[in-house]
Amino acid sequence: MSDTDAGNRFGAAFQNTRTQHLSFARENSAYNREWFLEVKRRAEEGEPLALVSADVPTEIFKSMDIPVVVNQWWAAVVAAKQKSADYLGRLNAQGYRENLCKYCSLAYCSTLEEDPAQAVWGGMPRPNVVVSSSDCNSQSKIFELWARRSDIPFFILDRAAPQAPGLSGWLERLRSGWDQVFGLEAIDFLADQYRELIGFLEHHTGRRFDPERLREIMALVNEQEDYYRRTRDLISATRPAPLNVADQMPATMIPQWHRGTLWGRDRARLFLEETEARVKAGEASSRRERVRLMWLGTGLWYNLDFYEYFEKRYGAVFVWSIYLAIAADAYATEPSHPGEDPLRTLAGRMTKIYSMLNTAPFNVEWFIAEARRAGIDGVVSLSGGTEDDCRETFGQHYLVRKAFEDAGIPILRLGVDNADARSWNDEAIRARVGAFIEQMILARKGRTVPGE
Amino acid sequence: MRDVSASNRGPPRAVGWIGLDAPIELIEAAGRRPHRIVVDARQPSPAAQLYGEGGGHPWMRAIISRLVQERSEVERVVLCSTPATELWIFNFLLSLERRGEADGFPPATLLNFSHQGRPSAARLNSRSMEGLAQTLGASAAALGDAIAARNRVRAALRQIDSQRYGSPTGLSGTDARRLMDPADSLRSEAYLVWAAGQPQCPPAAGLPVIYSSPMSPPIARYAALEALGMRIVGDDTDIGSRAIGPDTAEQSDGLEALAQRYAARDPAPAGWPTGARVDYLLGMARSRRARAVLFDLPAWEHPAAWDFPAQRQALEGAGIAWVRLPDGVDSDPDCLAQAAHEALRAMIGEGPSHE
Ligand code: SF4
Ligand code: SF4
Repeated sequence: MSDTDAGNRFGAAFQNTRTQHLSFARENSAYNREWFLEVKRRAEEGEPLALVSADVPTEIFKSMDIPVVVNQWWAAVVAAKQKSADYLGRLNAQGYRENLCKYCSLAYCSTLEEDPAQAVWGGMPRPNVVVSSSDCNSQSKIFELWARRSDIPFFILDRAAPQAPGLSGWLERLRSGWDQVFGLEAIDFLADQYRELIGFLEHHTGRRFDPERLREIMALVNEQEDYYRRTRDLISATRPAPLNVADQMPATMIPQWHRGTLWGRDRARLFLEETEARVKAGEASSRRERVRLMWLGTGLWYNLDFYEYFEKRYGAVFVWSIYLAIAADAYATEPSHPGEDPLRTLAGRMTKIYSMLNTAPFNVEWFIAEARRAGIDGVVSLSGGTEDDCRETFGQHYLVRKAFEDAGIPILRLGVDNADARSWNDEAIRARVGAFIEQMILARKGRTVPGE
Repeated sequence: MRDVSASNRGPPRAVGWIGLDAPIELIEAAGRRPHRIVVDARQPSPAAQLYGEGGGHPWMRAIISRLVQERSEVERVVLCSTPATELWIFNFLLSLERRGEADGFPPATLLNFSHQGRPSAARLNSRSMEGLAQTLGASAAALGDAIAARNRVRAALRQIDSQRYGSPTGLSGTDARRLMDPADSLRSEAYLVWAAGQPQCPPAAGLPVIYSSPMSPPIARYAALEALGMRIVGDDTDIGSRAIGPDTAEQSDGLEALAQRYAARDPAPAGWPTGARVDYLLGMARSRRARAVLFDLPAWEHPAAWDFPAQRQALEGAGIAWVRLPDGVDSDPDCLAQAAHEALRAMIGEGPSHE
């Protein structure tokens, strides 16, 4: 979901007319494509290739020099090429129901393409192994399909959860005190499984694991994420905001897929440098910033113009999304004690990311802290209110709404269950967000719509 | 048949359990009565209204609602980390507690349990069983007795289950459920006494079918289908007594034996690969000489939906008919009759298997 040229995600046409405020946006996209073609070339020459779900740590694969492609990333590329309706239809033709998980199955569906000339970027090469988590019990079934179709081995990572997380002041203990927050049982179990995963990978790819190499990669990731943290801090503290989420999201996510590489780190530094330069020069996303908004949920990668519409109309700037903030707060991870096995530190990182994105009470409390940091006047949440809402589960919307109400911050829930462009009515949604800004934010601030 | 709820009242206090892996033996060893929290996710869940915000996963919603209703019935509820939805319920309850809003719910305990069959899973499972034994206050001596008693229950259940198939007339699926389901919510000895006192059930005839569903269908639906000319000779419908599974080894280390027994239980849609689910269903259909499988699948996103295409393909390969029950099956009696009619036609080879 990080391709800047992801003009639209699931088929409907959107125009991206916005000006990009960061000089490197196009270069990042081009790099991504070149990187994939290189992975493809290596696979075709007989090197191993792993396909993994987004919550499997690519750090392990990088440390073993096993090229790795993330399922959700490839799905976004396929969608950007307007292939999703076709490919999802092929899955349905095999007897799979239509309202099943598009987000997690699209990459697999793309392998149903028979004609290489039609395949996106020449098609995903056949992986040697697939690895998924079981955070959602459907996802592992999709990976099983992939393994069967390609006749390759499959590894599943399970998850445990803390019986009693250490929640007192937990947001202050994320960098090195994480094991007391998220529970020894959960973290040790994950680290244990990473060791088994390495055995599996060594067996099936012939590559060897080197813990020192993993330490280096972990350190590079920390450096990269520190640049994100400084960028996030700067955007949160600066009024008017130098960049909105339409600029932040791709600038964050493309290098995030390449975390642990020099390229990833340097791109994150460039992002910070350009943000600093903009602040210094007094450049803002909107000079008329009057309202600061938080976007909660998956980004509208196919429709980044959406975010800017409200700047022009109301001076309302979307300054926050999960992408930069999770990079800032969850990824950077120091050992919990000197000399710790880097696999355990890695388990800490992955547990933090998963918990803070998906799991109450962690995500809810983090959202509130972040809203305060960024001076948020109102929240727009993408999903909610539907039965197919796979990730946010039952009760999450209640918890999120109550927490924002307690904090005195109004929230609007759009109730679009995923970022499926076919279910997106741009005009109607703009009108709802507009009414929210007028009635719930500007009216409370005692202001009116400009021009009225 | 006497209403079992009468024997549920009064001491001992009950510990609620949900899902795949909750070890009933530990609840009994703690001197408590196991009480299965079971829901029909298609029915309204009024007590969860407050938290649903107009949507949310129907099964989770139904469980939350039931927990509110059963607050006075159970002193605690044991949830497991598989399926993921149970883990999410645990986190939801934890979050309510943090908000000071959990008074309407029983205290929840989480059992982390993995079915991956690797050493890491075995270590986790042993630790988790120890932790739960401590939380519940189950002693080692009492656990040995509880394991032996629950094994006797399983023997009784196998005996009842075997009457469902093997001869053209036998126990109806409806009677089998009436006899077996109470084992989920009674102490072992109480169940055995109750079961021994049940009168002989009349033999039932009908075309033999398997009922396959990740949900827990109401008994009334079994009765309605059997009244239409079928006999439900087996089901994989939920994870209560009818998935009898293996005995627990009666060895010295009871906790370890429990960890192994629950890791080896029958495969459920969440947490097991499709391949294992296909083998399980096909094996059951064959060994019970079923003529068809009735699939009852939820309309919402559920891992069972990913098993279904492979399951039906395997059934077709084995010459066993299948029919998918329509979603409106409870709200409209004609709907059930229609589905039953189609199933019967498919079984006698006059109609295609279909959705
Ligand atoms: S339920 Fe959600 S996370 Fe799970 S497979 Fe479907 S889309 Fe993916
Ligand atoms: S059989 Fe009739 S009532 Fe039932 S689901 Fe089909 S159309 Fe609806």
